[in-house]
Amino acid sequence: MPGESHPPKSSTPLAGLGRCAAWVLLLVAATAAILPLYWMTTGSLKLQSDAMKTPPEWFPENPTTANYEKLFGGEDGGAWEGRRPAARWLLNSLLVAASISFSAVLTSALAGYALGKLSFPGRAVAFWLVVATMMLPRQVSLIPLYLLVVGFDWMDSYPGLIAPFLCYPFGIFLVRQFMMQVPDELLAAARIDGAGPWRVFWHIVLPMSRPALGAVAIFSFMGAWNEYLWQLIVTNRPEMYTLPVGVSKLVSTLSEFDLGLAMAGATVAFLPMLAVFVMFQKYFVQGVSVGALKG
Amino acid sequence: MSSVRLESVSKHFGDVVAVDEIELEVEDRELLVLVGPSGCGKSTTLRMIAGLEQPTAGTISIGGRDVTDVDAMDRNIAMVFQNYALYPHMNVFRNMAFGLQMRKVAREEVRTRVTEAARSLGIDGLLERRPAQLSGGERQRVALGRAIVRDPEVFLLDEPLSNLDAKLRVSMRSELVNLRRGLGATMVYVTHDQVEAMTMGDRIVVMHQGRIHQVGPPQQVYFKPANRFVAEFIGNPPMNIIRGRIENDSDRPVLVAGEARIPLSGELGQAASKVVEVDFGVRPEDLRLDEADGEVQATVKGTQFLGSEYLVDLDLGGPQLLARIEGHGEFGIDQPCRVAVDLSRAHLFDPETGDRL
Repeated sequence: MPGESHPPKSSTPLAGLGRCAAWVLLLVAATAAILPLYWMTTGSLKLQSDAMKTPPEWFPENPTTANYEKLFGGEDGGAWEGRRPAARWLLNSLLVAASISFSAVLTSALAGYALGKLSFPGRAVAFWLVVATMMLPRQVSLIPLYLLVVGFDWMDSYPGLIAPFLCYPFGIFLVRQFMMQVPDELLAAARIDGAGPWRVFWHIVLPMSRPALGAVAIFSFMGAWNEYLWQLIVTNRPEMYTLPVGVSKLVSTLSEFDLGLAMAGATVAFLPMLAVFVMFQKYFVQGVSVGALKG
Repeated sequence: MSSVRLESVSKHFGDVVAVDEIELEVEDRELLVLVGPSGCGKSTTLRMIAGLEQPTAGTISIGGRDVTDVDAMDRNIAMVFQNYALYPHMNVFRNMAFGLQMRKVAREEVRTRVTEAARSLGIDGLLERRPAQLSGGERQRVALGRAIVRDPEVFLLDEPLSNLDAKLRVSMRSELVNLRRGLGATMVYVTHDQVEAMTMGDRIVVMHQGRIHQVGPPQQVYFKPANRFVAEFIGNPPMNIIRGRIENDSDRPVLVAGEARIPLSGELGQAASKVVEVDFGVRPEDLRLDEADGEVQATVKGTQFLGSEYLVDLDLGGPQLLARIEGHGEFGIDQPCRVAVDLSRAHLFDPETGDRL
């Protein structure tokens, strides 16, 4: 591509050796990262008997979709009132994660702008309060939140699953740091151009903060998608389960542990996350570097 | 009518006084240059005119209307920033159109005005590009275009050329002057570069430590500096200032500095007759090395060759002077010489207050 720069190629044998070593190291690391995913995906295509074989079967000799059929309402459907449980759980997970992610982006953008670019009394205190909430261990808020949700009669409901995560302190922190890097002159120029604070936010600051907002979207979606404990606590009815809760309950209620079924559940849980990551990879990497550059 | 008037305007940042009770009037269609060293309050003054800073005291009016408490968005001014402040996520067209769109100008008119402004600045081929794809000079033009397109009452320019390389700066300087002439606009221009101030301004305002030290046309500021600070700040190389005492030599005042004795006459002589100690100022170009008429004995301490002229460091047996000598010559280090001072262009300043005597 024009303008793209490549590092100069070194021709010394020592540099070549170094490059080789780097490649080997990366290859080992990549294998270590990919192997469990490979094992999970291929495991989901094996019957229980093949999955538990010793020595392990690295490539499924008799690949089958039986586990997926079972997961999406096959022979065990009766146990779950004849519904297609995993499809519902997948939908629940998507709905919960998407709502949390959308709300996190919205609140992080607004709070980040206020804390990063507007001046008002108590701004520093407000910011440190937000940061302080990041320091609290997750378990501290679990019981108060549970009591609140019970009080609101939100058990086994979407509000119960979503509401505690509408604000995302790390997202506020990330966006605030990013927005602080937006030069004040740009905001001043927009004001002189006739834009009030809201229009400055909407037309200038928000579009310029897309990398940070993209990162917040991914982080919060990932967090909500992988959330297990809270979703386990506030759901009792199978149709309100999310995918991680549903799969674990399904596997644990069977008389014998079914590795293939567990792997199929994990694969279904993993694929949407992979899709989100691939789609927003650019923002993810930029978002990570935001914190690294200034913070 | 788009004059700007500042009456007793001050700006304090905590205990720091950035601007201290300044009075200033920018006339209609005038290019007024605020010049001074970093931290002198010139940019703060400009930002107060823009409405980006609220004055601690005083009033600001634009076109006869008191705008002290009016928001920047409602002042009908345009500003060009030092780093251009172009919106990086918008292309050139949208950058220039933004101000009009915010003011709900009809789409067709926006297109016409942006295209016309772009054509007048020679950037009509760049309308689809983003700021990152433009050179420094092109960005500068877009920033100017964004200001022009709005047809504001007053243009405010905050060191708009300081990010350009020296060559481009010179050409943009004359382009800006021509542009201003074409627009017939009122402009307030901030710079720390006194050459820019001298070459562009109808009038110059020299600021230092939040105060205005002199306001006047460039020639007046150069030839009749109001005080020692202005004398030293305006001019490159700066004016020589030497401290001396006044003695009488056969009823004629003589400045004695180190081993040098400079007889004073005319206006200078009259001014000197009232004081004992003075700061004597003379510009490097007002010194001549003249063996026949030179009244001051000096020694050459160093030379700098600048092509068409030399800068010669002279020692007057204590005080040091820098002379700008045109043409060619041979100057040996420690070579004794005689220096003629053009007293009609020399100045005396009060050593205490720095004021011109």
